[in-house]
Amino acid sequence: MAEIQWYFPNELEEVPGILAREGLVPHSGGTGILWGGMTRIRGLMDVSRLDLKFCRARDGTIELGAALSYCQAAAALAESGHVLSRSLSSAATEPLRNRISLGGSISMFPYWSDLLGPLLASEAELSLEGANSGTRALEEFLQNRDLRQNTLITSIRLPDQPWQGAYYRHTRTTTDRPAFSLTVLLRRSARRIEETRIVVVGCSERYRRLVGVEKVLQGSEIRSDPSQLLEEAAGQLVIDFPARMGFSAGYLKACAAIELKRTIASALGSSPASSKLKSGRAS
Amino acid sequence: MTGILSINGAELRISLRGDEVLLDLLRNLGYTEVKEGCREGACGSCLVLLEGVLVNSCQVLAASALGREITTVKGLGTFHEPHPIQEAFVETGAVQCGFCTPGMVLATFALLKKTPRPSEEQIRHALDGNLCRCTGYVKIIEAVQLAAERMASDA
Repeated sequence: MAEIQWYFPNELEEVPGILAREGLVPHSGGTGILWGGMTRIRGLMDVSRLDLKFCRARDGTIELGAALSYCQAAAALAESGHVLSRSLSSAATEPLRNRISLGGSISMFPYWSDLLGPLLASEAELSLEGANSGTRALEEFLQNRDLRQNTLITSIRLPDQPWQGAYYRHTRTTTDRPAFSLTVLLRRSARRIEETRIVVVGCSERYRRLVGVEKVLQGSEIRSDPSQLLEEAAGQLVIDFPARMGFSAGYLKACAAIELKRTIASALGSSPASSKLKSGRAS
Repeated sequence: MTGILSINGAELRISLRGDEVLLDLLRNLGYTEVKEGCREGACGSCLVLLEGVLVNSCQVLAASALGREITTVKGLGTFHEPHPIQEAFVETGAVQCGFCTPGMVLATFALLKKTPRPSEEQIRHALDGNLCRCTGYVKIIEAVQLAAERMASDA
């Protein structure tokens, strides 16, 4: 195997030229490159010298630098109560959360990702540099693999909105990779659910927005006992899973229906996210 | 490729392969206190501090650590001058076979730097990347609590 060449750009302007090299992969510290095997990699671009570890709120948008680790992003969002902070804090283990980066995780998009559900539910956008530079919806980036070619994710943008949220990951033990995860965001008045967004990650299509479930919930009256509403919502869950992690496909499907009800109930009882960000740069 | 690594305060000029992981580099340089366990980032035996941040050295490409400061457990204290965390592990009986102990001590150090007075839940969360197959974790958690108490009173 040929020796892997490393590149250490200091400025974003250097990035497109480096990305144009054949077999070049950006590296922001995460573990996905090692897991994926390195036989086809000819070069690695270390992005740690670029200014991609920031968190800022501006004009109704939260912007997270793509090289932030899960721990850094979770800490930046912790006070806001954002569901993303909870999902990232529950991923993997402390030393791995210190290494896995937001941008790397989006590029690799493993089915066990604890990042993608909250981002998809938030309708996040990505800032890209390189062959496809510009702003793209996260969902478009995930659907169109061509957008990953010779391209670096530089930041993730989320609308700064007061969603109530809950996150569930289906594991045997806390440090397992989840077989699937559920993200529920909702906005409610005193009596009604105004809007919901529900995303499953880890299903047969990798991820799915549960539009049928959302339709049942949107506009519904909130009663002191929401069990009937939750049953109606779960009745709209049409989803399949592959067998994985020691779970059969049928078992995962049954678990998803139960956990969907619990996660919606949890979101109904949660506090809305605030704009209390720990803005700044991480080292 | 070649470069400079700072390990426990000593600067070393080293040569390395582009696909080499930090664990192998450190052990080949003689830092055998960094243990090789699962090589998957699951067990925490190979933990080191990279610029003060706890990482699995088996999951770090060594080239990405060039020019940076690495601390192994021997960088915290010595046999004759142990760190309060190391003393606490000995005193509470948190060490049995000892294979996981370097990682446990470093994870405790990283926790107490951020959270000097952690709750038991915070301790369990901070040590979620460390496996011990001997102790059942009870004595390890007691060791972290004792170390936190002593370090807070020394501060």
